[in-house]
Amino acid sequence: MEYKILIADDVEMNRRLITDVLKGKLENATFLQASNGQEVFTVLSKIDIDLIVLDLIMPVKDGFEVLSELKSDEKYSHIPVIVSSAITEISSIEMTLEMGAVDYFTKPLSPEDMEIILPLKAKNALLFYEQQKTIAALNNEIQVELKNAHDFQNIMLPKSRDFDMVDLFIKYQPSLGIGGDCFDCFEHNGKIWFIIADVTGHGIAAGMASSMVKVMFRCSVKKDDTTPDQVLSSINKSIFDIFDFGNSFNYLVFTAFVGCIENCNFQYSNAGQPYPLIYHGQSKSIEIIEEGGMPVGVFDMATYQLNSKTLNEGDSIFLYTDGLFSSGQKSDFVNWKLVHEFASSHKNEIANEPNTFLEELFWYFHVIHKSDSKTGDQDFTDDVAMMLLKIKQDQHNDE
Amino acid sequence: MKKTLEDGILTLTLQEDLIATNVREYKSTVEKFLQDEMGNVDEVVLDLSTCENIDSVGVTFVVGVYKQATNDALGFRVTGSSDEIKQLFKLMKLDEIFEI
Repeated sequence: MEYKILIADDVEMNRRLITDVLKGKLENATFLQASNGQEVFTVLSKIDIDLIVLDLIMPVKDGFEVLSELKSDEKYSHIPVIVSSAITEISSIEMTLEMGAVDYFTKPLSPEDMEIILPLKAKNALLFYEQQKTIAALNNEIQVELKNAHDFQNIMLPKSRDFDMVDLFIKYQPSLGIGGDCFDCFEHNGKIWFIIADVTGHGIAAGMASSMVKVMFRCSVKKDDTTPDQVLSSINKSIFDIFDFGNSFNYLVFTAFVGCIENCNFQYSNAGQPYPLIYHGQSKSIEIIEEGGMPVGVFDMATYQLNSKTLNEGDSIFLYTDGLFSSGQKSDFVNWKLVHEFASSHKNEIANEPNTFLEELFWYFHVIHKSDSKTGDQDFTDDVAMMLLKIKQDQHNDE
Repeated sequence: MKKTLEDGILTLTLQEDLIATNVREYKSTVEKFLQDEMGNVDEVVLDLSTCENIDSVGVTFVVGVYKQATNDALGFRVTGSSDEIKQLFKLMKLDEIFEI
């Protein structure tokens, strides 16, 4: 690769001297010159430059201004700059390094500077530039892969829609473009089946695991006459049948809540998910489904408890993952009480505007994360998934 | 992580939160401690008294230590858990597996 190095100095002799010094020590380099700060940008607008040697005291636009503009312009901010100046006071040098210069040297150049120091500084700056470019390319590649994975995961997620028995409302935000939260809702043999799950960790590995959870869920549900507790047991068993964990602590572990609605009968089983809520339309009250259970993938012989409730038309079931309230920084990982409090004071939205309820709840916790004094200006650090199922008005009449 | 061995009870005291970023180091430390003290230990005690925060990876770590202890026919219990950690273990019914 041929490097293009721009020497910016208002004294022609200095430009020539620096060019000659570097020419003798750097292979594959061509040199361009600018006699003031304005000319630097004229050159940059026409040619891709790999390194700038910048004099601080120049007419028209001095080196400080040039450096400031370069570092604030996305097009040029990546170009390494070595500052050269007759100024020797430490405050000016410190300022340029703080502004983003990678190195500096002072003039006049001593024989050692010309022979060793300046060429080494230029080589190091170019090496740094190469590494930065490699990192940027890899980062770009990762972003593309993440986007592909995100798109794939989106295809697998259910969309807000209406079924014969229920209306489904969802809100999902993965923390790294792809996440370990997963949810599903579908109709099978006249029943509505749903799951909300949260795979340990987040990011790509958790995303891969959550895709498997969804497939295993559907396969388990399609067995005849199964129940939510049996679905969880079946998925748990499959995990230990499929994967050989050996003595490793690295398990495929996830919390999950599985539910099944047939007419007004709601059966469910919990495997460590934060307690879901039921909004009862007739009494306008919130009920907490306070049954827990072991996460899936922890113990091969784990069994799960089957529970049931009767629902009425206009009732809603609300499920969420702990990424909503847990900042990952302190003991707020059991803050489901706050979710309950919020729901209790927003019953009208749950009943009439479920999407508004999900949005408002999401932003309520967003503000908490942002304003938290310990975590500082922080966004959600974990995936957030919320799902609300509302029993349709004609359910009761069908019975 | 600090260890003390007294009367066959190996107490492992965590000095940082039980979260994903710390778990990798904890795992290898526990493995080494158990290997070093093999034959001298009857029970493993995980002391969480200085642990404020725990995440799902941290929970799997606790279960992992429990499994390792059980595999070696050793007792296992958790001490010093905050109310919040106890609530999480109860949600996950881990209090039915080992003493918290």
